[in-house]
Amino acid sequence: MSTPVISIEHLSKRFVIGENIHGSGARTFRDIFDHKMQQLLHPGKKGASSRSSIWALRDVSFDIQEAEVIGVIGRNGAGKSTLLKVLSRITEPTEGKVTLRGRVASLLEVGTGFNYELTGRENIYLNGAILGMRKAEIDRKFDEIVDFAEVEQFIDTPVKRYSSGMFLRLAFSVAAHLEPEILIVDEVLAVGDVQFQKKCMGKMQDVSKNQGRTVLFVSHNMDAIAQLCNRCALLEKGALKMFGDTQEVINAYLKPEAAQTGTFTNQSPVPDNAKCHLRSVRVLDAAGTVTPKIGSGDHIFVEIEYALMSELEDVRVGLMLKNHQGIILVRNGDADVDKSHYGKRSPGVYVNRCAIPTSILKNGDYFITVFSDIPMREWLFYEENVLAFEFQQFDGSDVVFHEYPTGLIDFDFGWEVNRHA
Amino acid sequence: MERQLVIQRSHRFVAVDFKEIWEYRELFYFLIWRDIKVRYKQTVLGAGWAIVRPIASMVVFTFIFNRLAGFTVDGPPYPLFTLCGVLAWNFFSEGLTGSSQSLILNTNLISKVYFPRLIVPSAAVLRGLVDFAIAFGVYLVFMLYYRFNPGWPILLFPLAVIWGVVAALGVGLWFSAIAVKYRDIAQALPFVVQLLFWVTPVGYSSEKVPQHLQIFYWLNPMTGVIESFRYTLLGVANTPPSLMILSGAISVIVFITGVYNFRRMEKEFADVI
Repeated sequence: MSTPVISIEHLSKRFVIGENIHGSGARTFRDIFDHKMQQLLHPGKKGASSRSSIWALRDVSFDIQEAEVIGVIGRNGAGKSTLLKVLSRITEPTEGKVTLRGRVASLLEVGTGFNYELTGRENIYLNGAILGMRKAEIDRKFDEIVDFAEVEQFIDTPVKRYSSGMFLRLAFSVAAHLEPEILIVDEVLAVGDVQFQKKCMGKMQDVSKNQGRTVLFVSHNMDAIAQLCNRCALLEKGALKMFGDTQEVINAYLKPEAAQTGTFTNQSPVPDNAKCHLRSVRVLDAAGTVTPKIGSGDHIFVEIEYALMSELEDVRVGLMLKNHQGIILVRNGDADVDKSHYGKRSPGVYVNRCAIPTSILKNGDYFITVFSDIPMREWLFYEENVLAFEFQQFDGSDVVFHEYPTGLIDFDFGWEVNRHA
Repeated sequence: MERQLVIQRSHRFVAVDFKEIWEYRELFYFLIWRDIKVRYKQTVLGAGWAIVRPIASMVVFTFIFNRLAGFTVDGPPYPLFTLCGVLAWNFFSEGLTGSSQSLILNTNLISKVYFPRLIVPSAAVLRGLVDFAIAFGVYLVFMLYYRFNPGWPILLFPLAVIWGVVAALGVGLWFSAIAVKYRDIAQALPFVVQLLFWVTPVGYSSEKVPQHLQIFYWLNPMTGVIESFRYTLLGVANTPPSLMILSGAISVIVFITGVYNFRRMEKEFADVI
């Protein structure tokens, strides 16, 4: 293989959190005074005890070749944004190094540095300069940018009078006309209306496929990742869990191992101060068999088994159903629907059972997230995508007319066709 | 491959990358342009404020120091004398206030885009040169009105202006870097500027300061800046050169340490801000 355009070697980034003097976080001189007083009063205790840090990135290494489009996926807090910030030179790595070969532009947010008092025209120049464009380059592309954003009439109006849609279109448009060799993009396609999103996707495809740029792209939208990227990196808790073919990585991310069996059993030990502990989650078909593949029956059943360590008031246990794109279809808890579930729940082991009507599901993969909380007060547990199941029903209803897009869910509207006499 | 960039943890002290700042000169220009544009939006007087402010200060200071306190100077008319001080002081105090707050006000840029961070506080100081140029125009009008001839020292005036920039930027760099981490700066700043005003010869002459306090008085970089303005614009030369050099040396030291402290702290800006 040729020399990689981006090579990331043993990259780590540590953030210092909590109340300490030498770490991060805005603070006042009073905090320092308090800290010094504490040291005077308790000379035994060293500042180090109050210091805690987290590794947002831990020993991440991979190479990216020229003209590749790489997706970066992972749950919230997995280190995706930190990785992009290090690659964009906004923050320094704690260990390791990155070598970039080529002009880099990064787009971590749409509309960075836009000023509401300035006009659309002025903001194009300002934002362009902030993103690293030369004035001559902006002059040359000005008409194209305005055209793409569809704001010709308002170009000399202050941006504060724009609708939010116009604002986003203009902001994306400036960014879309950057011409770096390496483009680093963080979740910016999720702006504007559906039509504009499509346009953005088209632009992204154009940048990568036709212009031969190297792109590093973070998104939660698996469809966009699958469409745009050749290869994908999966981050988990700061570490690189997998790097390779996009479809394989997406599958690994979306389908936890538990998906193979239809059961998730919580292996982690019960913390000392736990009030409510998740023990297991199961998917069952109408016949009561535990299975990850459902092909028939009116309902799919999910059982959540958990233990209450002490008597709790107003506790709620619930479930969130997502489709293969990660879009939430339904989310509710036991007490949301039936208020009588609120009130005191004594200690012991419980099983919550719920039914998902198959009549609303389209064929495909679905993901289950389970949670428990005391609403508006505290979280007891939250396990994202613990289980997956595949729904495939061949009753003919899905194959009549295969038009796209067909929606997220499916059910019979109960059509009546009446001819007026 | 045209160029290669290596990202890794940097050393404690990093030299200033002038080449990179030069590459980002257009951003520098656009930041100044943005602040000037936005500053007078939705105002009636607009840039007229840059004319009104120094004249108003001149009138008040002349009234207080000349009429009420009875201070006088040899040579130039008193209003011209104070206006000269106001010219330098307004540039300094606005540059200092603007640059100290500049990083905080541009948080979104710092946390989302890479560029040499030194540009932000520097642009905040240099944008003051526009108001300064307008105020200098006002000064020239008054100079003609009083038919005052400053003589050849006016050729050295650009050096005095550069000194003013160095003084404002030096203190501004210190404050801006610290303000990212400690928001106390925002609280202390108006108060510090006000105190500095009284220990700077804006409305009066530095000669009025008692002899045994002179050395302390001249530790203030702005004392030197204002006296050099008075020397170049008014031909007032009543300062021992040694004190001028002292004030100048302090300005340079504050500036250089300010730059280095800024470079040392800037690595943390995005994580802390």
